[in-house]
Amino acid sequence: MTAFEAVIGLEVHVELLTQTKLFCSCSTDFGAAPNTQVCPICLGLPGGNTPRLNKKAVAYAIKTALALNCQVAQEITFDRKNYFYADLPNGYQITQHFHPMGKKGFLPVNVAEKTKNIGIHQVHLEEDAGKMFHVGDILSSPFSRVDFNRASVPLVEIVTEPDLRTAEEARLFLQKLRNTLLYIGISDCKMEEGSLRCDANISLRPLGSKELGVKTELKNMNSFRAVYRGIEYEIERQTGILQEGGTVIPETRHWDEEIGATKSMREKLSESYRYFPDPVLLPLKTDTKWLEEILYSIPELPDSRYKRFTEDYGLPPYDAEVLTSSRDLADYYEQALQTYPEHKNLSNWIMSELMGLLNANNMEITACKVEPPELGDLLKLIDQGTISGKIAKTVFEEMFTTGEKPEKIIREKGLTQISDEETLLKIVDTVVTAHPGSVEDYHNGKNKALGFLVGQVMKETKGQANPRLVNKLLQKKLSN
Amino acid sequence: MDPANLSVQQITAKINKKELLLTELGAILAGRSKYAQKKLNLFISFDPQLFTEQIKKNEQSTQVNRPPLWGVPVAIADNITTVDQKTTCASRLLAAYQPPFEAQAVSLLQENGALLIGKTNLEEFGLGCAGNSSYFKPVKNPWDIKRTAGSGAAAAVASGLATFALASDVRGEIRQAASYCGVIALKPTYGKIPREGLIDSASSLEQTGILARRVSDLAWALQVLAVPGNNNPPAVKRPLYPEILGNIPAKTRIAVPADWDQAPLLEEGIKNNFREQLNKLARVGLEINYVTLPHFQYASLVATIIGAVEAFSNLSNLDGVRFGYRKEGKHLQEMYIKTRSAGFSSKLKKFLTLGGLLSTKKYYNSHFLQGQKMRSIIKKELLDCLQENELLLTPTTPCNAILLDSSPPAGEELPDPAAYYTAAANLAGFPSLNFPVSTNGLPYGLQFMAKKEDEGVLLQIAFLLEKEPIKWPIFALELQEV
Amino acid sequence: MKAVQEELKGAAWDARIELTATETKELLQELQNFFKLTRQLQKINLEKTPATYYGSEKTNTLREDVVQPSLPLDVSLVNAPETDDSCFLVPRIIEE
Repeated sequence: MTAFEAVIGLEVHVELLTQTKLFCSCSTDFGAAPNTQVCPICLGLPGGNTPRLNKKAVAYAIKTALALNCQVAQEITFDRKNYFYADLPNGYQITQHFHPMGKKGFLPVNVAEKTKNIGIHQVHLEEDAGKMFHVGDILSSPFSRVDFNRASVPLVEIVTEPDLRTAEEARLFLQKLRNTLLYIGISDCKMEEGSLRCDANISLRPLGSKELGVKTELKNMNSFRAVYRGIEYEIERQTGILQEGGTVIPETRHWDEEIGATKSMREKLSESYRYFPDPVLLPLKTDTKWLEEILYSIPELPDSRYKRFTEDYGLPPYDAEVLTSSRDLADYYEQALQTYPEHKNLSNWIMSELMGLLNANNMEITACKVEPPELGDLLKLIDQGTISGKIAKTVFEEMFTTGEKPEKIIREKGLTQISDEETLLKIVDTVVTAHPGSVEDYHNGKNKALGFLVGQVMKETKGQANPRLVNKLLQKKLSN
Repeated sequence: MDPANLSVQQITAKINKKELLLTELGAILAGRSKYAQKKLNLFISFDPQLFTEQIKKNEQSTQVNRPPLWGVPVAIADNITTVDQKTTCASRLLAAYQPPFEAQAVSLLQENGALLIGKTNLEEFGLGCAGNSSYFKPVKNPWDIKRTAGSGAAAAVASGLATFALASDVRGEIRQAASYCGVIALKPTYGKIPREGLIDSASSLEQTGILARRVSDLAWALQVLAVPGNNNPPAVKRPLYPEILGNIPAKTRIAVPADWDQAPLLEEGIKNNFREQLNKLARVGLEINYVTLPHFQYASLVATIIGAVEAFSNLSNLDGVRFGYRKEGKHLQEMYIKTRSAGFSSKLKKFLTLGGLLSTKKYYNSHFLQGQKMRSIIKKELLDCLQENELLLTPTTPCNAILLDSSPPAGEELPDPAAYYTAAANLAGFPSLNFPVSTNGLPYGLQFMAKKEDEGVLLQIAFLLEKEPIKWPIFALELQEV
Repeated sequence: MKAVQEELKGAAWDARIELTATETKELLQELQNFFKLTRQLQKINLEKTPATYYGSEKTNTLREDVVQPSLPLDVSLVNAPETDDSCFLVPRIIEE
């Protein structure tokens, strides 16, 4: 049986984090009441054909192109993609067809411990369409309602080369892309709110062949899991067809999350899109000074940060990967390092305690009440012996809930570690007297008995006793 | 003197001296407009009450420094948005459309004290002058009601109902209509008058312009309207137009294409009269230079190609969803087809289909792209010519106003022969002016073109030619009796 | 012209327009002269000539990203042929 190889390219749409739309000053706030963020320009009213280009949207698109290692266009031009649809106010979408903002870029992705450069065919700026609500499902709906709040919200579309070969590669690429875009702060990249959308072009070819097979376009994948499952399903479906000697139909298919399969959209009309330069939007030269400003506004990207975390901080690859997976998390780590420069220890705490609590509360790091220097302070208190590691966890939980400083919590709750020998000796005496059996066991060589006795001292002191000191004092006492 | 024939400056002066009451002028104009509407069908919206309210507002104003257009009656073509009156573009699709915003040009006129007398009839979406596409029936020519006026704006100015009017120019419409009605018209440099609120069918060609019966009135209108728009970078420093009219440069060179008489359908009467006009100009000391513009002949064709493709796209927002007329259908696509097929005139349906055809893959390079390249050549030829000469002169139209029920129907040709001389200025974005002369008892025009931002020279030549007042059409004399 | 007639049908559909038989006939007639002229136009070698897509040589300007008020809801909806209390209504999307 012939073995097949999948050839996958992604088209990713990302909504930009601007206050206003691409060509007018209407707000882009998510979740406003329908049709309350529209004006003659974005509603396509007669006489409203006077688009006014948003500077920030242009800057963000250039930033994206630069972060994805693209060549940036010297002149910014816009084109119209003409077609009729109810969510498209003007009968055309303004996009960059002839001269995209960025071309010929790449994004390195770690696949099975190797780095693979995925080619970026182009990055371009365009406007979003409105939203449609159907009465019931689209097939049986007698009419649809249209909300134009989203119409003309700025989008960046990132088109990859067909360099991906598996669903897993596609998933890893998308994660890396999302992470990079979050780093440069151009979008909130929320798939569930539609601010990051991903379509996939998938075709199969006999392994070793250079020619491309017939492709299908896969849409409606609304999560990373859906991207993975949808592509996986489509590869399997096409493999089945080809192995039975059939041919794949070039078509658009929708991923149905509930039934776990892709479905043909059975689109009746094949629209012939027309593109031509928008006669209203004059070209704009990108001046070097502005480009430099945008370039300098790009922060250190995940790859270089990962490298620094492993090489300069000596973190294990796993830690570095986790910590740099989000710019906010990596920033948090590095800010905490300022007060507590124990790299691995801090990493452990963030990855276990902090992330554990964040996950349990379904929170983002940005919502965390514990300021990074305060986490550093807490860890310093452990090292100085002021509190035990165990107490520290309790203190941290308190800090996480209330946002109080660690010293204050320790003071108010009287959680300071007892390291005073005289105080502890009194308790050791009481415990030894109360547990003659254990003392005898110890003397008979059962070392476990010592642990039991230490535990009893800790219990008596509500965990505040310095465990190392208790150990020492007990041993001394018992050997007398 | 007939109060309806006062210039901008005379109106302001007489009002200030209390020799003229706005209410008096308003009453005269309202009466005549009503009569003219019956005879010529020149308005789409004319609301005497709205007009009276504006007059009242002006009369009650205590403003000390009155702006330059105080009390000046103006007409606005119905493809320029107004908030008080509907804006229909003479299309069934917009027959009841009430814009929620005012065109910047209209706001400027009102801020400067002008009175909006009404919204004038035009060809559907302002395309052409043949009188065969308005949903509200054609406008009749005040010189001969069997002929097209080209536009209600031109008819209103020619009849003395408005001191000046605003209308748009895609391939020469305001100049052609002015040629047909015997008035002055200026299509300024592309972008000179703000675009906001102009419902344009072809954005790269179209420009709002001004029609008037006096050069000085046109100069005052341009003075007020030529401001940087929201999307226009500031224009070059403009002169004070009304003050420079008499200062035409001593040695003004006028270029005339050597093959000007090769236009298809050029009428014998116009050919002869134009020759006489050239002699007259030479006699007053102007230098006439015959030049070769080998590609000027393609201007109307190229403007048709570009205009059709841009109109195909620009008018796609007329889909029966957010505004305008809708004809119901079983599903979305059927609704689109029914709405647009019933909503547009036959002429526009054909033109949009042409635009659809010329932008398909098959025709894009050979027609649309080739056309845009030819546009560069034509523009370069004009620019070279206008470096050597201050002005370029041709007839405005190859014929007098065409008959409304001619057979076979005129004005359906592709490209439109009426745009033979006018379209080049739209392709290049250059300013161009029609100055009325007459032959066969009917008006036609001399068309002058200058390089960008050189409106001053156009006004100066017109001022020089305006020694004797422009003739009134018979209808205007009839109106003065109303 | 038969081929052009088919192309016109497609172009009309793309413009969401249905031409009547008379309109098609008229347009085909008008196109005869038009295509005669465009054939001449195509003979001119413009390979190295750049296209002019705009009416102005000026460059585009940029707007700061600052929110301005939008239209009130009732104003946005007032001109629409069919709405409910907050949305524009369109006929069903699916054709069968």
